[in-house]
Amino acid sequence: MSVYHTWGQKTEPFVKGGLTIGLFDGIAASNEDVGHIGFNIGAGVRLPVSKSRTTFLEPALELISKGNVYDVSKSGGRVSFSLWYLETQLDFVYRWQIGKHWTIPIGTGLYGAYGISSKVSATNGVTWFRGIPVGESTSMFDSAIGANRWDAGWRVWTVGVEYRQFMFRWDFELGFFSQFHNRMPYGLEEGKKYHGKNWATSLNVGYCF
Amino acid sequence: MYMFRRCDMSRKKSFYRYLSVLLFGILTQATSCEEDYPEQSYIMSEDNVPEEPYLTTISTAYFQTNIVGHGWKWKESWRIDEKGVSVRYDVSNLADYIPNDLYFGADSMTVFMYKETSNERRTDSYIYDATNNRILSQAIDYMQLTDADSSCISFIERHGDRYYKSNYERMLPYELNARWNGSKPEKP
Repeated sequence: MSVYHTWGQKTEPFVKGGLTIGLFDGIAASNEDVGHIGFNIGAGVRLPVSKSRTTFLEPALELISKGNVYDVSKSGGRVSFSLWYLETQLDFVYRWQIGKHWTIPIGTGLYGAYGISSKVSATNGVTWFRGIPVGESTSMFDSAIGANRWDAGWRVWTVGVEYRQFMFRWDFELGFFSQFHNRMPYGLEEGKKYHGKNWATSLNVGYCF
Repeated sequence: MYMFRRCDMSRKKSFYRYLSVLLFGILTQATSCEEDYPEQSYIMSEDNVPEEPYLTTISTAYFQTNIVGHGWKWKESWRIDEKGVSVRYDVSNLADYIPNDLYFGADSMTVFMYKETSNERRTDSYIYDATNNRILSQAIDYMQLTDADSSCISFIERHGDRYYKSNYERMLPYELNARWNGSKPEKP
């Protein structure tokens, strides 16, 4: 299925889905980070911006889960922050043809996201984590934690390989904003403040119509 | 030429002296409990008790493995004012309280107190409540464990009507023996 946009180029809708590993503020922030394993599913359109059909804009809408899991040895358990976002993405992608049916896409872009669901939970016996009450499974958007519903950031890369209609992609996103209004998942460590910005990397499989 | 060489030697010497001082500084910094906690603000509860803003649960198992069975010597304190702002406690000004050392046994804790006339110790049973890291005992007024590792522990503690954040360093066995031998049970 293909449609033609106003300057006569063929546009191709696609669907995609896969695994997402989330962190807050990066691996280097704490040795307690385990990473949150979640999922993503979405759809978009491949919009050529050159007549040579090598550069494309790829707007997409995605349901994606991010967050982080911490292994808190002193507490004897794990703390999990899980957020679901409705995310709009806009990637600028260069597609390098390496064979008759094979293409390598390399791109970068921006995203904006709205949090539709969130949960913080912990294994039995862990009641506090860096000042955040985690004893009962609760929404992160409530007043005690005050997570931001809105997020935006840089889609640092989207790379992969495409065979015929199939897409295999590896994406990496960096959030611009702290996800925590009131408390942060990291405290003061050696005088540094950590902000709990979303980091996420995804492995996706897609199909282009 | 000779002069230049001497000058170089002297520079080398001062370089090595500087390097050794730097290395010593790094080593002592890495192994001491000091400077881990900069002055910070605490959240005051409705009862005017300062709450650790970055409190993380320390499990009973961790407490028993790493803290019980050891003596802990006082290193430094910050006095927390009514607004929750902490200011480093000046040890030379002992107007408020004289710092204590601590020992945690399996069921009882001992506070080593240094008084003007004699060194005394107070021993009483205690309960560790991991839901808020509190140590409940008649031996102390108020004590909340805020951080711990195998060599350092930190508490918010009350002495009289004031709250302090204090760091303690793990004692060597001979230091603990000296505390036991050098103190008498507190007179009722």
